[in-house]
Amino acid sequence: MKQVTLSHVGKTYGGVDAVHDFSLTVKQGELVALLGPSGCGKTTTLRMIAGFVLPTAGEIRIGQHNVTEMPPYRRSTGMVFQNYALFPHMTVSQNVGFGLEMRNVARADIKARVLEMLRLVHLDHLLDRYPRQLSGGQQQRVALARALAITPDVLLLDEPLSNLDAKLRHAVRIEIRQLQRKLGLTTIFVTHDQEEALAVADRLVVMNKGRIEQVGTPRELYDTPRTAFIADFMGRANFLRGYVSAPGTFLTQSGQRFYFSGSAPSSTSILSVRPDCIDLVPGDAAPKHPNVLSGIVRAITFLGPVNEVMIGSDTGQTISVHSRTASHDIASLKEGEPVRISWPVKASQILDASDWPDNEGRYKNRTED
Amino acid sequence: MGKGGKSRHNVASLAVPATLTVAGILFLPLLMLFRISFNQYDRYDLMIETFTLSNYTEILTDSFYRSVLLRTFEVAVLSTAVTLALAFPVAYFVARAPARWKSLLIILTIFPLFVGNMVRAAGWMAIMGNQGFLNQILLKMGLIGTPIEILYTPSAVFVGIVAVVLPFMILSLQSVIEGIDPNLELAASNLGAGPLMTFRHVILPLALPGVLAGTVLVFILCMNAYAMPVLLGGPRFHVMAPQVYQQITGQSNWPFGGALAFILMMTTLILTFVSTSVIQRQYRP
Repeated sequence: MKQVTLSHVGKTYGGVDAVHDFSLTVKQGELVALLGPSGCGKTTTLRMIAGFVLPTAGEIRIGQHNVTEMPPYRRSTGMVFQNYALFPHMTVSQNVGFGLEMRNVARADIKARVLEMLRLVHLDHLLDRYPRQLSGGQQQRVALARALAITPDVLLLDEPLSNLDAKLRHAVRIEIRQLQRKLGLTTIFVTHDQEEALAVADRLVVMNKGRIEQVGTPRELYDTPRTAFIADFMGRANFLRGYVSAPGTFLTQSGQRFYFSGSAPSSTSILSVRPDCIDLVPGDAAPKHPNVLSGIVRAITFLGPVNEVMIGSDTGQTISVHSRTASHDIASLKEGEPVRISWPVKASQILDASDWPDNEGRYKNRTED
Repeated sequence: MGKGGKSRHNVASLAVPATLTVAGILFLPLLMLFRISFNQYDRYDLMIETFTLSNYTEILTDSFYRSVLLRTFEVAVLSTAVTLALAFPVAYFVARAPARWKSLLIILTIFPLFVGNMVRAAGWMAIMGNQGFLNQILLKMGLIGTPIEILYTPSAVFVGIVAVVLPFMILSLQSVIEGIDPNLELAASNLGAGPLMTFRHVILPLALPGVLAGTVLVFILCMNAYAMPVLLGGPRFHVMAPQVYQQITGQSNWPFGGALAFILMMTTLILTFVSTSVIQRQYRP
């Protein structure tokens, strides 16, 4: 397993930047997730590392080797495709052994390695099956075994879980993470699912429109997003537009005052607060936190462990609040009745709004209208 | 269940008119010709109703007809093989072309079929003749001193036939290659297979149904080629289809022509069946 370095890598298709000035070092044994909405350039980046797409700018190194111009079959990258791309005319063991056969490994050694790889993914009882005879989860594991059989320098996963049902996805992502740790695999994982990325990655690279928005550990990106795009992408958030009027104080456009801690950008800003950080204030009780906002309950949606309460607030915006089903606050709530909400100072995130909201639909969970 | 069975029954009934038409216009004449092939030719009465195998034994024992059959077979096999080799890269290119170019490329592929075989043969004659386009160019370039004989050679027939059947092979291959997931090629490449290995181990085995369909179709067309051998091969070049025509219209020998036709058909059927099953067995997944 080796380190992978991308320096100022770019790809232009007919004058349009698919990927722009992408620089990243994936350390040996590290799992990095490339995360972003569809069309953000994450798959193109992965394909450039595999060699399927030639960059129009920059340099890619695997270990010490400059592989920028090298055809895919001379690199040693193990790729798991979104649709698995198993050879339909070959059995499970022929699929897993294909890469070794291409490397002219002795037949007996291929057999041993194939068995070893299939044991690793718990499929050593299905050696002679054809891909069409396997379930989606089994196909996915064969694809993983096939990619690992050639002892690649880097493992590339292109949305490997997106074709599995929710329950299986959860189990397989844990399995992939354990395998990756156990074998010390340098891994690059492409996904559009932030929850998946948060769960498996050592570091996340959030991409938007071909550029890197932010790089960091899952915790860093979740707790201290740099832009509204990241905050929104990393989980549902409520955004209030306004500006910082004094240190620690944020004034919305409609005149409400909210408090936050830490430093903040001075320009036009957005205050972001996550639905699960907001408390409902019961009846006439005193609010627990200094940030208070009142409004009208528009809708209550039961989501299992939590209820999502949509509140038409006095700022004119709809605010989403996640209230735990087990709490008593939710029971007394009725649609169409007034309600007060509050959140702690440290739950307020001030974000740079310089790129907000220039583009409709850019923030998938926007609650601002 | 009952409902499904009923609807399937209805769908099947839709095939009845076509089936009857095919039976009427294809099998009935064939049956009649088959019966005629056992009759006796007579110089004065032309045909005597009887049941004899003499037409068949004559064809199979006569060295002239044996050599005609062999030549037909040679031309067909060679043309089919060359057509396959020429068509595969084109079919691959068309199948992997961007969607907006694809329909244009397919129209270009079938475009030659808009012109009948006779017309095309005439075109080839203008190119290949002693005073033809090709000889003029070669003379002007000083590559040859006197016109060389291109027309009325086996090579001319061969070129003509390949040009006719190429579109059929391309279309058969293209439709199957299009169904092969391009990610499979990337996966093979990712696992260390160069272009040649990817072709051999992934594309070719998966394109085999198309190869078989195209080969069978083209082989049948080549075995039964008429216009090209007659017009480009000249009077001394003999293959089966023109011989059938010659016997029936030239000599009015229906029994002998019928027997020739059936030997041609059976040979084609048997060769197709045998080669198909051999290839299929070899590549069975």
